[in-house]
Amino acid sequence: MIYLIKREFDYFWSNKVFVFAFLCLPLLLALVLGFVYKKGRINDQPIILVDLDGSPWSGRLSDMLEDSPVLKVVVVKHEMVDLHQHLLDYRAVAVVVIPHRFEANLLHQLRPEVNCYLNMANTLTSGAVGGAVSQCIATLNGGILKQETIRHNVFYQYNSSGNYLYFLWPGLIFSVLQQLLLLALAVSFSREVEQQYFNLEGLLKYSQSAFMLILVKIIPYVLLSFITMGVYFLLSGYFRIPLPRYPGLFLLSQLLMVLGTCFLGVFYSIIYPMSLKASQLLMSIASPAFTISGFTWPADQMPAFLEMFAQIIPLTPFLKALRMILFQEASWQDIAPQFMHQLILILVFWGAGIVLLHVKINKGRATHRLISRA
Amino acid sequence: MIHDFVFWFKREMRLFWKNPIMKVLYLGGPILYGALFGAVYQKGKVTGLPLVVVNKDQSPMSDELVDLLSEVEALSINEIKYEPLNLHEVLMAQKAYAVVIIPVDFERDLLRGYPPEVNTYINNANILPANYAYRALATAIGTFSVMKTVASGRKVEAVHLNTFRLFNPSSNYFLFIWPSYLAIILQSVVMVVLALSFAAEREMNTHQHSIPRRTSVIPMMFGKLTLYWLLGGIILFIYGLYFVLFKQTLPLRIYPLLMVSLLFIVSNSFIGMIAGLLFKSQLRSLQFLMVLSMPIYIASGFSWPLDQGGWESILFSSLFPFMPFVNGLRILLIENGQLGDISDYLLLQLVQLILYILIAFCIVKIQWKAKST
Repeated sequence: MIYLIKREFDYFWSNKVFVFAFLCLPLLLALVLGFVYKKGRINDQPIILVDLDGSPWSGRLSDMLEDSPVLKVVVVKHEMVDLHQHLLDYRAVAVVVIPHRFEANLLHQLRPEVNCYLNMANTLTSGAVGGAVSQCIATLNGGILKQETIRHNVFYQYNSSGNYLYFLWPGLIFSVLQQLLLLALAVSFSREVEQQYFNLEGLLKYSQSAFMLILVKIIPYVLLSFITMGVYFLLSGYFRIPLPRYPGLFLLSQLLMVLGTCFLGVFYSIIYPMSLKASQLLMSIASPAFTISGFTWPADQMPAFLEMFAQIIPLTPFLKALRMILFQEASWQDIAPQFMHQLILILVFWGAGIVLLHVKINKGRATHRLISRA
Repeated sequence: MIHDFVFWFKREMRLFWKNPIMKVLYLGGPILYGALFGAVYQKGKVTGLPLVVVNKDQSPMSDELVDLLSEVEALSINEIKYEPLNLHEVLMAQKAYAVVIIPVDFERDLLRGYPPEVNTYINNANILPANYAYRALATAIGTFSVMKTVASGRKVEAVHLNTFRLFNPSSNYFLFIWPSYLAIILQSVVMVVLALSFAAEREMNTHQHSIPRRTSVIPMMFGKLTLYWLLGGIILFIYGLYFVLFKQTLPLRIYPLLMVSLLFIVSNSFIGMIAGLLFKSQLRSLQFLMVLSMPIYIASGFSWPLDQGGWESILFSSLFPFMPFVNGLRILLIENGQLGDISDYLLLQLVQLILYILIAFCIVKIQWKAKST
C-alpha cells in the first residue's frame, strides 16, 4: 500500500500541470481574487451632475453628492444635451439633474424634483449609486423638514458592511479546490486502464480489494488539499476575513467536501476508461457547480430541476455550511442537515465506486484466468 | 500558399468530423451551457424571498402595514409573530432573508405624530438577495410612511427625487449576468478545442512525415484555425436563438457585436493553439486550460468593477481577451453603444490578438526547426 501511495505521488510530481495547480495555484488565485475584491465595498463610482440652477442650494446638494464615499462627480454640466452619450463617454453610472429654479421652488415650498438617471447595465454598481443618491436626498429632506412619520431602521446582520470580499472570496477558493480535485482524480483509474496497467500483472498485483485501491488513489490528494486549506487560513488573515467561531466545524466540513469530491472523481474515472473523456465530463460538472450551488443567485429562484441537480454536487452543501459557519456563527446543530447531506453524498459515491471497481476487478481476474488457461 | 491553406483546411475538417469529443464540445457545449445558465437566471428577478414579520402592536394600523408587506412581489411573508423571537434562529440558513419588527404602540404614536420606529433586520450573509429584500422593504415602508403623512396633512418632503432606471429598468439579473456567461462558454470551448486539435497533432507526431507536402507556418496556422472561426459563426447564431428563447431584446446594432465576438473567438483560438503546442498531450492541455479559465472570469471586472480591484488583478485580466470583450460587450449590448464608445477595449483586443499571433507563430517556427534538425 505504501508503495502504491508513493506511486501516486510520483505520478503527481511527473505532471507539471498538477504540481503547479496544487502547489502554486491556490496561493496565486487566492491572491488575485483577493485583490480583485480587496476593497470589498464599492467606492468612487463616476456620476455626472447636471446643475441647471447654479444656486447656493444646488451647490449644497452637489457638495453632499461629492462627499458621499460611493459617488465621484466626474463632470458638472449646466445643460441637458446628449445625456446618453455622456453616460457612455464617461462610463458613468448615473446622471443627477438638479432642475432649473431648484432653490426658488425649494424656498417657496413648491417641492422641486431632482432627477436621477441610473445606468442599470451593471446592477451591482447601479444599486450602490442609486442608494447613495437617495440617501443624499433623504438627508437634505430631513435637514429641511426636521420631521418624519415613521422611522425605518435597517440592521444588516452577519456581513453588516456588505463587504463583497467576505461574500465571495471564501466560496470561490473552495470551488477552485473542488475543480482541481476533480481534474486530478478524473484520471485516477482511467489512466491505469489506458496504460494497460489495470490487470493482474500491474496494479492488481498489489491489491485486489476495491476498498483499498480507492483509498490509495485519494489519500495523496486529500493530503495535498490541506495545502489549499492552509493557504486559505493564511490569506484570510491577510485579507482580514473574519475567522469562524467554531474552526473545528469549518475544518470538518472542508474535509467532508474534499472526500465527497474525491469519491465523485474516482467514480467517474471508473465509469469512463478514457482519461480525456472522464476529465471532460467532470469539468462539465465542475464549471457550473459554483453557479448552480445557490451561493450567489439563490437556489430557490432557479428552476426546480437545476436545484435538484445541484444537490448531487459535493460543493453545494459545503458552500451552504461555509456561509453559515463563517458568518452566521452556526453551531453543530445548525448545520446538521448540511453535514448529513455531505455524508450521504460521500457514502453514495464511495459505495458506487467500490461496487463498480469490484466488478471491474473480477472481470480482470476472469480474463486473466482465460488467458492463462489458453 | 492558397493551395497549402486549402490543404490544411480540408485536413482539419476531416480530423474534426472524425473526433467525437471535439464535435460534442465545440457544437454541443454552447448549446448545453447556454441553456443551462439561461435556465439558472431565467426568472431574472427574485420573488417570494421569505420574510418574518413581528407585529407587536396588533392594531388596525399595524395590520395595514403587514398587508402592504404581504403584497410586495419580491417577498413573501413566512410567518407573522406577535412576540419577540430569536433572531439568530430565524435568520440561520436563509430560513428568512429579513425580519420586520413593528413596535408596541405603533398606531398610538403614529396618530399622535411621534415617529414610531420600525426595525428591519436583513440577513446579509448572501448580499445578492439581501439587496433585493432591502430595496423592496424600504420601498414598501417608505410608501406607507408617505401615505400616512399625506393623510395627516403634513408636508411629505421638501425635495422630490425621481429615479429613472436606464437600460435594465427592472434590475433584471438575467440581463446583467447573461453576456458574461455567453462569453465564458465561448472562451472555454474555443480554447479547449483548439488546444486539443494542436495537442493531437503532437500526439500523432509520427504522422509528420505522412503529410505529403512541406508547407510554411502561416498557411498551416490559418488553415487549421479558419474552420473553427467559421464554426464560431454557428455558435453565435445559436446564441442569437437563445436571445429569442429567453425573451431578451435583440441588440440594436448587430455588426459591432459580431465584430468584437469574432475578434474574441480568434484571440482565444490562438491561446488554445499555444496551449496545445506547449503541452505534450491533449489531457495536459485540457487540464491547463481548465485551471486557467476560472480566474480569468472572476478577475474580468464584469460584475465587480475593475477599478475597484488592485493593480495586480487589472494586470492579470488585461492579459486575456475576456476582460476587454465582456466589458465592451455590455456597452454594446445593454447600453446600445457603438464601436467608438469602446475604442479602448477594442484596441486592447487588437493588441492582444497581434501578440498571441506572434507568440503562436514563433512557437511553431521553433518546434518545426527543432524537428527538422
